[in-house]
Amino acid sequence: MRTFDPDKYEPDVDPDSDGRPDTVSAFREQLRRDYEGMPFEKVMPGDVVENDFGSCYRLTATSRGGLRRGDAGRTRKDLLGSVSLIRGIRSKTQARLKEQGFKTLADLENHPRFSGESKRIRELLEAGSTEELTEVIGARLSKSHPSVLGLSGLHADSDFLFLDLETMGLFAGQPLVVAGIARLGPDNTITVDQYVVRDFPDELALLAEVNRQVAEHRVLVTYNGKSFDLPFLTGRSAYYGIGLKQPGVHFDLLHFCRRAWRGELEGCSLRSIEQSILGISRETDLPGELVPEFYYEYLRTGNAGFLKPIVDHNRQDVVSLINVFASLVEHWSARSE
Amino acid sequence: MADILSTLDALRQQRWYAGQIADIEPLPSRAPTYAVPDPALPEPLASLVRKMGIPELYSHQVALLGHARLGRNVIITTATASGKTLAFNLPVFETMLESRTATALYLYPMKAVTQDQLKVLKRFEQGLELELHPAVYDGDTPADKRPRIRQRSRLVLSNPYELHQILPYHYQWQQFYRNLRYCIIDEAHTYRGVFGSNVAQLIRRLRRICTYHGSNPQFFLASASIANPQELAEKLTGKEFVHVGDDGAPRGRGWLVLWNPLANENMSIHVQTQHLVTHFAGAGLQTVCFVPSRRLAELISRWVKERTPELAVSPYRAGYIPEDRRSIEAGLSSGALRGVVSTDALELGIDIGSLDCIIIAGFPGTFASFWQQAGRAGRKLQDSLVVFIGYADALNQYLLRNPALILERGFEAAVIDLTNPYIIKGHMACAASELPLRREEIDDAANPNPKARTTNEVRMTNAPTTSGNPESAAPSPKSLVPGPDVRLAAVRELEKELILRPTPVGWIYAGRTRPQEEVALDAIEESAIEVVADGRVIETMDRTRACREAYPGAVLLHQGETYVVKALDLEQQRAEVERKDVDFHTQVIQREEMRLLETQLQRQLGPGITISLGRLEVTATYTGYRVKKYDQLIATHPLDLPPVKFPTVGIWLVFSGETALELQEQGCDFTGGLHAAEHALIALAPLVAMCDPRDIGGGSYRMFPDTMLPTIIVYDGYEHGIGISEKLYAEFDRLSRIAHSLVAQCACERGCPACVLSPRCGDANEPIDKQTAVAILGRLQPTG
Repeated sequence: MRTFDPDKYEPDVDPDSDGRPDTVSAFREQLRRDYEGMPFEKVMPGDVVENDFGSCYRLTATSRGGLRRGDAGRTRKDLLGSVSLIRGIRSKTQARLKEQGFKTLADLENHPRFSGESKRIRELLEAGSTEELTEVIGARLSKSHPSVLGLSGLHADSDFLFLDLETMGLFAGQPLVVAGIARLGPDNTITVDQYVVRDFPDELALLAEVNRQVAEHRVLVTYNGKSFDLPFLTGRSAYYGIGLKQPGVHFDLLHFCRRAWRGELEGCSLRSIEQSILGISRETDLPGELVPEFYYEYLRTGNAGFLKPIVDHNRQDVVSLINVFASLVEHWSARSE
Repeated sequence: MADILSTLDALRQQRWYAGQIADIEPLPSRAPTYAVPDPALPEPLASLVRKMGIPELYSHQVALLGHARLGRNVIITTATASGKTLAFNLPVFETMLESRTATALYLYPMKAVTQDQLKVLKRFEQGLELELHPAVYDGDTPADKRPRIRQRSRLVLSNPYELHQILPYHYQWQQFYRNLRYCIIDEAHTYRGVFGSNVAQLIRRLRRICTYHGSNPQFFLASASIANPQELAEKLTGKEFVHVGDDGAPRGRGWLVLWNPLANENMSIHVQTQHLVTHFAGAGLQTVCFVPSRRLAELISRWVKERTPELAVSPYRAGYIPEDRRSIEAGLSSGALRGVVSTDALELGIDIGSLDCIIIAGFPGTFASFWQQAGRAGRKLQDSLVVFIGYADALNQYLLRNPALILERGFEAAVIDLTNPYIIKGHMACAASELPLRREEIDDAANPNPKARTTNEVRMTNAPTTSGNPESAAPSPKSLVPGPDVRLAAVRELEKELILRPTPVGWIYAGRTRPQEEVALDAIEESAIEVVADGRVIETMDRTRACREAYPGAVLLHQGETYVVKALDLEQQRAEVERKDVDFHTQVIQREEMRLLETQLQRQLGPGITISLGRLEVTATYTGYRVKKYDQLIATHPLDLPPVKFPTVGIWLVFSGETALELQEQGCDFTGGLHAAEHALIALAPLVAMCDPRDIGGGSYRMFPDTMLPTIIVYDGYEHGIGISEKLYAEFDRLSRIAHSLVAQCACERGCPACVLSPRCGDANEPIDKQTAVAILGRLQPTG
């Protein structure tokens, strides 16, 4: 399994265990010392993105790696074998149909009552219409059913967009400060773009940039994005009066992780999945709830050092999305073999 | 039904009757005035109205409809049960019949009322065979029902508290706001003082969201009778209004009985109240008795039942579960229940039909409330009775002696302040979290002139302006409403605190919390202290009031229940209280110092007397408190609280040295006279400025340092004021006239609680000179 190498992105705030800050105030003090007076571009090398709505800052990192995802052939086979995908077929009917020799959707295409729907599902599979298939599976089985994630196998690399936001609070009346986006490039490359609000006038341009990318990709991958990231993005876009096209397929990994590992794990936060499943523990990581405080500190002092841990934290989150995705696919393929 | 007059006569034969009837005033009866809408109502609506048992419309209903059809905003102030609900629903449903998309928002001050109104709207919906999905959307609406209401309900009933919370999510209500044609605000007179001043800002936020989504709703307000309906409506919404006040509904013969319980010294007021309920309900008159507290509602109805078990009487108050409330309301409507002893919970908009007899125990604070309650009496054209039991204090006793004041109605004005910087600051933060706040909105947010803003100004997409600074946008012409400078100052302050940040599209909100949670509609934000009983916040009060009423050891009255304060933490902004029935009350001992800061208006009252309106600073030191049982002093305890200093608005009367000398030469105690006059003015101020006596403070000085002359000061008890003093200044002639007659008419010799002795006086009513007060108040009267 090839995965994205998270080590590359270890926050470089003194990873050396001897000098590791043990309290937030010591951490702050260290940031102040290390970065005071340093120009923004030097603390976080990157470039300025401009669009019709203004400008914001971007950090880009590219690495080799790929995304392990569902096997297309296997996914098709599994789904064609699930007669329960058809409305009106519950376990009782399924047993009766089995006796009558209707075991797959292909069989059902000759059934007087179910032929239409089974044909429709086959055609959707052939066309790779994962948007509709997600709905079919979600309605008949579960929205976090492994075969929903399996649909990822029907997509091209270029369809995927991994997204994670850092915000000033949970309320969409508060601004967004960092958006991390990962995409899969040709030749096994992964690109992580992080858009940063240098001050709030940047937010609108950042939103426009993120919305454009969401619109350009068929598949959005997030962690808890159905409850947080996407509604937040929707709320902020509405606040500024700009449009947001809702993604066709949205894999919110939180729900799959719950299904896969609930019971085995204490919690299903991204952090605990990283620890128990990916075997990663973050050495110096800024807890999410401190994001607003550090951002204010950055605004007040102009010291970009206070922004850096937020950006590092965000990058780690985005990278983990890719790795958690792979772990889920692996988990379910191993179990069903 | 028993003959009302003979029932009244029979009262005089009771053993406990000792001449308590001070007066009986006839209430005017009136024949109905009908009118016909032109053009006629659309047929389905006309026939539905007929089916509802309404053969003809009253003139005020048709008047409202006429204005509504012309696109005007209307405030209607006809009597209780005169069909106000039908009046504003006619234009709404006329529109609903024509439009497939129009929506309407109904705001009520209390949740209990919305359920009742929902039934009314459903009746219209069904009768007209429309699909409008009317729904209540408030704190009790389950989360899983909310999305559907937002998406498809075209009639939404809610309250200001809920609206305040949901405004930031306006994008989820796009359909609703885009098509919002009408906003109905019922019981508008309840939106006054701090609450009203907050709601006025909230309505501006609502209008801002509507403008953004491309609508400009018409407003219909309904209110009890007040002196300034049009002013209230315009301040509350920032729009121009017409007033419909001529009541076309009929009224039968009625009598107002003024009952002075003090005439019988051997029986407490509450026992007399119980006797009156038993007497009238027992004689077959369906009776509702309004009492000032929950506890009294329970107590008196229990006494009635103990005395006359066969009489079906029930208490009614807020806090009952909805089923219980419904069954009481149904019992009243069907007649099965012969009497109810209620708090003011039954006063607002709840449909219980009309009754034969209303007893009002204690003046409910405002004439508006008084007539809301009294208006429950009188079924169609039958005879009815209103009994007013005057309590022992100055205001009640004055009203007993001057029923004309009650009969005059619409005497008091609801005050709203549009410039209180604390209130504005909170709402500016909220507004900026709902949509970026543009520079031109600062000048224009409270814009009273709908013409200045049209829907084609709405920008659904915000293109960046050329500069990075919202300030550089050209300011629009100054609006006539006060406040642009206050709003700008608030924005500056918020910007300094990093709560607002300038961006090219306007100031955006960048604070740490959801501002809607921080801004309480019934408090002045920055100093809100939460009063907590059993972990539950029962009310919030500002710092000054907390020091005055919620100091450790204080007995606090909340909705008629007594609570004992265990601790007051001014830093944590929290007062811990404990529910406890006690038979004593407490009274803070305070020393107040006032400093005049700025005179804004001034005029001559009489020779050698001026009145001024302006800003002042009050420093209050709370040194201790007295524990009293009835009027008996039991103990005095010291208090250790930091002094409270706050800027506010007040009026001051300054007397020339000659005036003082003249009176002194006549052998008067001038200092005691000033003090007594101050008490009388404060006692009656609520009748002019529609506020609670606790909302006002004051002081009197033989020689005031800032004027070097004898001075009486009356001020708003809230930081930066809430508009009371402005009203007192404008209506001062009226205030001084009734204060003068209060004191002059009182039969006591040296002053009593019914005239110049105040139960809240920090100086224990010392010195006090009633006769000099009469002379001083007499000199305040306009000459000629």
